[in-house]
Amino acid sequence: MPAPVSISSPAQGTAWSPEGAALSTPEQVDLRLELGNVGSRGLAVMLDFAIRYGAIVLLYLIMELVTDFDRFSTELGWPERTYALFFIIFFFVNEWFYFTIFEWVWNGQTPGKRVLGLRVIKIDGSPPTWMEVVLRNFLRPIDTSGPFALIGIIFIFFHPLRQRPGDIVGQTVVVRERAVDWELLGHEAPEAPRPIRLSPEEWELLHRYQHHGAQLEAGSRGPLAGQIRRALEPAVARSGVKLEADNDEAWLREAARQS
Amino acid sequence: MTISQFVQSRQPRWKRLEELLGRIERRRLNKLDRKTLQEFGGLYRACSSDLAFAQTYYAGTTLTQFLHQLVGRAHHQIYRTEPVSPLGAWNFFRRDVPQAIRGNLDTLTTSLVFFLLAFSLGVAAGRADPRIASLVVPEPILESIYAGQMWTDGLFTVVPASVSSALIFTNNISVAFMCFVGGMTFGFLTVAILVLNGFLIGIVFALCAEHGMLGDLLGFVASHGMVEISTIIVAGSAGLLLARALLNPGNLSRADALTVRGKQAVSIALGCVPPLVAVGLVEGFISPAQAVPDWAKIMLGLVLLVAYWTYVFRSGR
Repeated sequence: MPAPVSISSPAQGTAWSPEGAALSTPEQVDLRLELGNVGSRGLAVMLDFAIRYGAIVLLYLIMELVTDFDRFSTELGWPERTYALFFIIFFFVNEWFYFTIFEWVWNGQTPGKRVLGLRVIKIDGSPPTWMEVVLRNFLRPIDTSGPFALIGIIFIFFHPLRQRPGDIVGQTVVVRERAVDWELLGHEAPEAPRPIRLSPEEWELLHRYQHHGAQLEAGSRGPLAGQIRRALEPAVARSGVKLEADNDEAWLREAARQS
Repeated sequence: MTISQFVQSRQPRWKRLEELLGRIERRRLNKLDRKTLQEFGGLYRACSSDLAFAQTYYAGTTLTQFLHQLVGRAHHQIYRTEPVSPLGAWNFFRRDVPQAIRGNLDTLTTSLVFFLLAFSLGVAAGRADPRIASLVVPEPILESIYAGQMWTDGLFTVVPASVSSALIFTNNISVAFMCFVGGMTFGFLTVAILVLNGFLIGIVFALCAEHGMLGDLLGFVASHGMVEISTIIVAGSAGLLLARALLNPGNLSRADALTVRGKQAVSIALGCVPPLVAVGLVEGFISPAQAVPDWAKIMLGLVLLVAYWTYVFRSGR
């Protein structure tokens, strides 16, 4: 799915907005990032829980199948004892430190977040320290309280920075990383000469039509193409380029190739 | 420069940065060789400046949106979480934890008062009406007290000491962590844990005294119990610290107060892990051992208690 694009680009403001989070990098560039929403974060958490409890179930099944001890009712040999010890420690670490360890070692990601393209960063854009990772994740029992983690969902839904209580205490946000969408640039032949000189607004108009025009109904596409052609014709003529085309859409395609 | 010339001339390095990003995201930054790393850093700076240029001259175009995606992804690969060193961990437990506990003696005192009040209430309730005990004390423990037998005798005969130690300290650490987390419920859960534990211990003491088992009970709990209770009270202090940030943030906003106090609180909570592991081992191996005389257990308990509070009040000064 192509990224939703709006004319009032998120790049213009510097204040936080629900769609994007601006941060100033050490390179003095205002970087605007997309915040993770309830849906993707919920799905990521579900994936992580599936992995967590899947591992527990697996270890438990192994314990039941391989060893024949039944809840410590018989004397244990050293292999069973070691396995039981491992199981207890694993259960504890899994319960309290699964998210913490992954987000710390994987640079703000857990397996679920990685699948959904989410990442935890501090609200100033820097990576969270281990203590902030611990803080945001230790408060999960609070955030997931209520039916279906209602507290956390309400917070993520209504908070302008999409922060749940753990995020507020740890001063973190969850951002979404998208795959870089080359179609936004719309250049198939990077080496070809581009004699048509367009202003940024005209270029934007033309390329956005190329990017999204195919999704329009045929009935409205034709008139729109005509409108855009009329808007661009002066600039094309100024550049001294003559475009050969049967209809408006072909004309626009040709213009896009040369600008 | 027109926007199309800009796109055309800069596109190769955007492509190259994306290619390197794909490799880094799949593998790891430190697997790259020196030359590629330097190239990656250079490309990131170059593309950042492209973004700055585009923001100035081509604001509001999809081009800037595209560059935000690209530079944003590179940003997270360049700026990463600091790895924790053994020295850092040592300093955390030696210095940060006791300093955080000492810096919040008021919540520590409050936590202690809650526990002691509940304990006295438990003792009073146990003496006034033993039937109250059935509300909070598990049935098998009650039965063995009435039979004049230590329930702990049966508990440790089949479970090996190592396994029971692990069960004990993981459980205790979870309780300590919940004490901290409970602060976010405006302290309700924290106080509930403190009061319930204090009340339970008080009532068990009262019942054992009534059935002439106080000596047996002391013999069992003396070596580990005192530090265990100390850490739960300290963990209660962590929860109360969060609760106070919510209820009375002072000069800060609630969010800022939570962040500042939250860091101290989580240090206190994590600081409960080493002592609880230690006394968990004592509780699994030494407390149920018949071979160790009661006086030795009591001595050990006192030594551990003094060691713990010396650590809290002296370490990292």
